[in-house]
Amino acid sequence: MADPTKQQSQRVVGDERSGITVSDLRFDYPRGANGADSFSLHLSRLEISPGERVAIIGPSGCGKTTLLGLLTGILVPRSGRVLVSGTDVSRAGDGERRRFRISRMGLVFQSLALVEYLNVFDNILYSYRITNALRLDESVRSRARSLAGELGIADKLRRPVGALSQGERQRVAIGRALLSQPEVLLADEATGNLDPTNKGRILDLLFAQLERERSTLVAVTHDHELLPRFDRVLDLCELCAP
Amino acid sequence: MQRVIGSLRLVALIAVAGNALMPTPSVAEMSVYTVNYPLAYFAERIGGDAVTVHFPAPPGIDPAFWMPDPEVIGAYQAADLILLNGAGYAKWIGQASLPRRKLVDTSRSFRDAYLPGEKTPVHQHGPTGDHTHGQIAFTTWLDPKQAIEQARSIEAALVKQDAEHAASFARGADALVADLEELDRDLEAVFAAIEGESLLASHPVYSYLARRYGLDLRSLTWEPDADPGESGWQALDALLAARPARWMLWEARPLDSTTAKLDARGVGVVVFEVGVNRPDAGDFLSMMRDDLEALNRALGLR
Amino acid sequence: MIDSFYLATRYLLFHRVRSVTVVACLVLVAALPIGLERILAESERQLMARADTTPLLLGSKGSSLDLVMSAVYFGGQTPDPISLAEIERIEEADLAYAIPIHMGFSARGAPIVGTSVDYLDYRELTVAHGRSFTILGESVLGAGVAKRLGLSPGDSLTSSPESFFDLAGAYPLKTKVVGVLEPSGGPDDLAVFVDLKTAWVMQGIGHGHQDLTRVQDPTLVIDRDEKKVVGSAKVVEYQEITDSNRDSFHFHGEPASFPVSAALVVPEDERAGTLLLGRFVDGSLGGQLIRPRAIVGDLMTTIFRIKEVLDLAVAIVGTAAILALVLVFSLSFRLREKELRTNFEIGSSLGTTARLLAAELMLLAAASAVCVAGVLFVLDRFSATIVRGLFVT
Repeated sequence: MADPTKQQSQRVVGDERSGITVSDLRFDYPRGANGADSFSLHLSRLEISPGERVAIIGPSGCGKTTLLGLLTGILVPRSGRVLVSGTDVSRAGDGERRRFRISRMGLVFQSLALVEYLNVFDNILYSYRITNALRLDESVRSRARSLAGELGIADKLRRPVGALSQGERQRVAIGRALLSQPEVLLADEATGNLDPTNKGRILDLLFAQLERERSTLVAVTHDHELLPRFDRVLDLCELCAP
Repeated sequence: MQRVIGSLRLVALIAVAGNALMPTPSVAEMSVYTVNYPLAYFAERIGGDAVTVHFPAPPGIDPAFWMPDPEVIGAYQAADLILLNGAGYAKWIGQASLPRRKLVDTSRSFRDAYLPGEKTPVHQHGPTGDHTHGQIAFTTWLDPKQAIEQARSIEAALVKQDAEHAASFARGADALVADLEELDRDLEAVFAAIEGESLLASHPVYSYLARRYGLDLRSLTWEPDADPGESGWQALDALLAARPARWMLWEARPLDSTTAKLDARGVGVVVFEVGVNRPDAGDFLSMMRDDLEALNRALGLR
Repeated sequence: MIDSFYLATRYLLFHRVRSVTVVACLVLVAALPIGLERILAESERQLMARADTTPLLLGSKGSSLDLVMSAVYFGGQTPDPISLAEIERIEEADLAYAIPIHMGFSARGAPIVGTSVDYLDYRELTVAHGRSFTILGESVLGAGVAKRLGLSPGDSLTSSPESFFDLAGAYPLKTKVVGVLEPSGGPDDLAVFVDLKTAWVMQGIGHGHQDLTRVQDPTLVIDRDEKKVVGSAKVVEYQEITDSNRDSFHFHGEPASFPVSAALVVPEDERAGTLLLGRFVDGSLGGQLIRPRAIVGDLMTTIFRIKEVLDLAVAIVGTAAILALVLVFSLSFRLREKELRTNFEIGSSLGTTARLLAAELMLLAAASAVCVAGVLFVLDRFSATIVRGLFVT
């Protein structure tokens, strides 16, 4: 078996301004609630090309979710830079980071974080309802329906998300993340609790969408079975400086 | 100048003619119901055109014992005034539902002077229980002085109801009172002529007449259309034995046989109508005048 | 903001039990004091309207409120009686006419009012079916009584015995229903009207029986002479007045001494009323003569003072309810922390949370306002009926 961490992407590298560039990133926060230990992340360099599919692996607690937070601008580093599609998310203000995140990035959370009181269709459209950076119109609705069709949940649009299976819920989360046609998709354990058949199917759907939009994928995963499908596998512990 | 006067005359003529042609505004006539004919007569004399008097008792029935139908009682209820005689007249008043504010007790002013009526046995519940009272004599109008008080009571009630016609009512009342006073004088003269003599009556309905003129009047309970029977004649004989009497007052002409038997006993029949019902001809006053005439003839004063 | 309202709507609908409960609480807190105010205002209007149409009321000395409640609204305790003579004294003053009211008996739950036909004229009560009472033994029913008991002209209605144990007292009297009144919207709808004399028969002051002067059965007579017959206790009194026995009905005693509960006194004018009142103040006439309007006015003042206490209680409860709602909202907010965090992580605009919560509150407030308006509309539309149902019984 090939070394997943060594897989290199053969994909075309786009514009220099696209993609993700991290340089000399330092972040730490005290883990006061769980123990006396504080947590620090130090990443000297990371470059992800536009359209590249990167998997981030590493043991629990090494900061994979924190890295995603830093890349999306949810967290702000103590020092260093994070450039995403030419935007310095590490230096931007809260409002600008929010706008950038919602309009040009797509997030798939480990917990999926669907809105239980909305149906499938409204969950997919959700991002458009909580920001003025995106405008919800008939073209967006039409795109959402078509996206739902491609994800295999077109017949469940009016169902409350609580009535769906785990696999169906996963597809809804992906649909929500992809609706705004993001340049970068960040997924945290997107296939976490699925059986092997569904895992494969979800990834197929995800990669198909990404292929179409030529979006970058950064996926945190524990599942080594999926690693061969990525262009590159990065072990965060090895990436991080001591 | 002639032309001016002529024109003025023409204008005046037109005005008068126009007025005559204009319909006079109609005044609602007061509706008055009475319980007997004498009160109806008084109301007609006093009220004149301003009053419509109703006395619905059928002609052949004694109004004192008449029982009107619900429809007739309803008509009484709808009247503007209901003239009652007082002194317990009539029986149906005690059972009927009449509006209190329309009732006029015409003999209220002399209610302390009522006389006892027919001596019917009273009844009592238990040795110490409630008991009924004897009846009161109710032919109050046979005393012209009392009739005058009743007439004045009617006048006052009419005036209270319709003050606009007070003057007309006063004129009517005054005229009636004058007639009644004249009747009183004439009756007084007649009875004065037989002062000291005893009189009999077929029915105890003349008590007020007797009191007014100081008559020694003893009453039986005889009906004009029936023979009094053995006991009746015996009662009469007992009365005659106690004190002789030459005349017997009757409300209506008795049977010829009764007249004959009375005649045999030296007792003459004098028809003295009480006047409770409207006569076929004449009116209350003419009836009283006829009674007076009957007295005069019987007493040999004419 | 439209999107916030959309999301808030979906949230409230998803948690509909909670939403309905919150709206219900808000509606109660808002509508209760207003509703109470409207009901009281309507009660006052109806009570005062009835009192206004009763210029003066004559009765025995004692509680004037009891007198008004009994004679004007046909409820409460029957006051001590006055005699007919006292009514005649009022009439003799020639300043007013009086309408006697006799209370104390009932028929199948409806109060029997013994009075004269003047009462029906004065209260402008018209007959819908049949006719007014004209003679002893007849009754006329209020519209509500007729409907409740399913009676119409030609039927009969028997008075209830005053006391089950009152063996020597009043006996039930069967009356003939001759008329049913048009609805009047007041206490008259729920009463049975008879002539005063019929009420006296119910009371035992008048009765009918065989002619004791003509009876053959010796056990019916204790003593007899030409002037008087003394009947025994075996003499049976008629329990129904018919055409065949009506003539036998008679009264024992002086009518002036017979009892009435009260009398509506209608003065000729304001001055006459004042003069009459003056005679009672100076003690020249017995009993009491009152203005029902003043008594009911005093009653309403007392009621409104009680209402102030009630208002305070409602305000305290309302405040507690609102505090509870605030607690519910804050707990709900805490439960939604994850959702609100997700919004941030997805990249929601600044103020999204505030807008969402504001939209929710506005929707709840709007729903409550609509419900309150609906409740008050219904209350306004039916307050007269509700008050009649509550008090006119």
